[in-house]
Amino acid sequence: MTHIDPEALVASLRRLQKDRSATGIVHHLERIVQVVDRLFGYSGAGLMFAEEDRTLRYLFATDERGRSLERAQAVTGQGPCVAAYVGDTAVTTVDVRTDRRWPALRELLHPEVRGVAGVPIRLGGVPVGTLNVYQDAPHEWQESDTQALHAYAHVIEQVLVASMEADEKAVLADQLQYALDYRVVIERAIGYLMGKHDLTASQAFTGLRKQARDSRRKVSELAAELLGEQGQRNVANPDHVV
Amino acid sequence: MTSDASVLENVLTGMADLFGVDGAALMLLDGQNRLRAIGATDDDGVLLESAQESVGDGPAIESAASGGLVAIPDLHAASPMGFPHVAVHAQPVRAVLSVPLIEDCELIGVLDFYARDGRVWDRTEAEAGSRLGELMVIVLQVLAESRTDRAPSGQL
Repeated sequence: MTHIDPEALVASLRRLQKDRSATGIVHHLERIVQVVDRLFGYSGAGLMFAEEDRTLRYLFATDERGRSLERAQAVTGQGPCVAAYVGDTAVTTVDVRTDRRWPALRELLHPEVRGVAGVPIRLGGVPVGTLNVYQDAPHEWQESDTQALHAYAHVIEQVLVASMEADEKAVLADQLQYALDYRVVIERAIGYLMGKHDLTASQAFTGLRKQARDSRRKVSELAAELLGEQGQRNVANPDHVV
Repeated sequence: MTSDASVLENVLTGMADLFGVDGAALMLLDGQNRLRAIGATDDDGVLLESAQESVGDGPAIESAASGGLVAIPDLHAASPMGFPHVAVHAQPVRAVLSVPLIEDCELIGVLDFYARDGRVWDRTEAEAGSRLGELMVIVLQVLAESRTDRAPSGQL
């Protein structure tokens, strides 16, 4: 049962449209992320977004420390936010600098990035990016923290849904759609490699992405070929992917 | 339900979850600068907003008039602590926190958070309510810009 009056909503939105130009979805997302750390009292927050090859890249962060967190993960292909995206679940760490799961991060991180939490941002039920927050000291995350972050991520998802339906959807929306279109085949390829080589999802994805980069091809294209969906061209030995 | 309405309902539900209250409701100014009930997360919220719109009084109306937060521990309390003439039309609702929605220094509406039990809204909750009000303004801007009956002028 709906609890919204569509006619009243349209009348008010028309009023808001007057005398103002659109500022774009990226600008709005940036403002939303700036609100999140003030709302929860975190040291900083950021947003990472999946490119067409399912690689996370940082869209923005609230400060330089947060940028180092997102950049380090984009460079190494590992970290709490990458894990949150690949596993489609909340991932936290008390102290990312000493966490043995991601040893390569330490050297690239700003020293004041310590406690980190990442939650997936989903469209159509599948992850397309992550909302990331950090604390400048080691931090024990509670379940209530991740629940609140999931709720906040849900609001971001609704903003993305609204912008996706606009006439002016462009780069970001296209990237989101691309990620959605090719996610299934990439996920299947990851599953194939996990089963064949006894890998974790993160290891399988990293190997797939590396092979795609090395051969200057898209991850989705390589994934499809691995699965035999686009013939066997250019895949001399699928096992070399890992 | 239109997609805009669906998005707004989901956002209100997400905000109520974030805040840890029973519900959230929205009133917005229309083209004639009248505060109109837009919707809520449940029937109790719809009753609260409809009552305020029809009576012309209540925490949201007061918030819109003053441009500040209005925190009511018990809507049923005698005036000026409560709004018994509004409460009679929204019986299940007790505590209300009304947050003015400001865009570019201009009031565009009021966001109400409510609980079915009486409660005193503390400073931290008032601060959180303000932040969620900022978030709602952004959501409304996105919805306004996303409407197809506007001239495309934005860029990413």
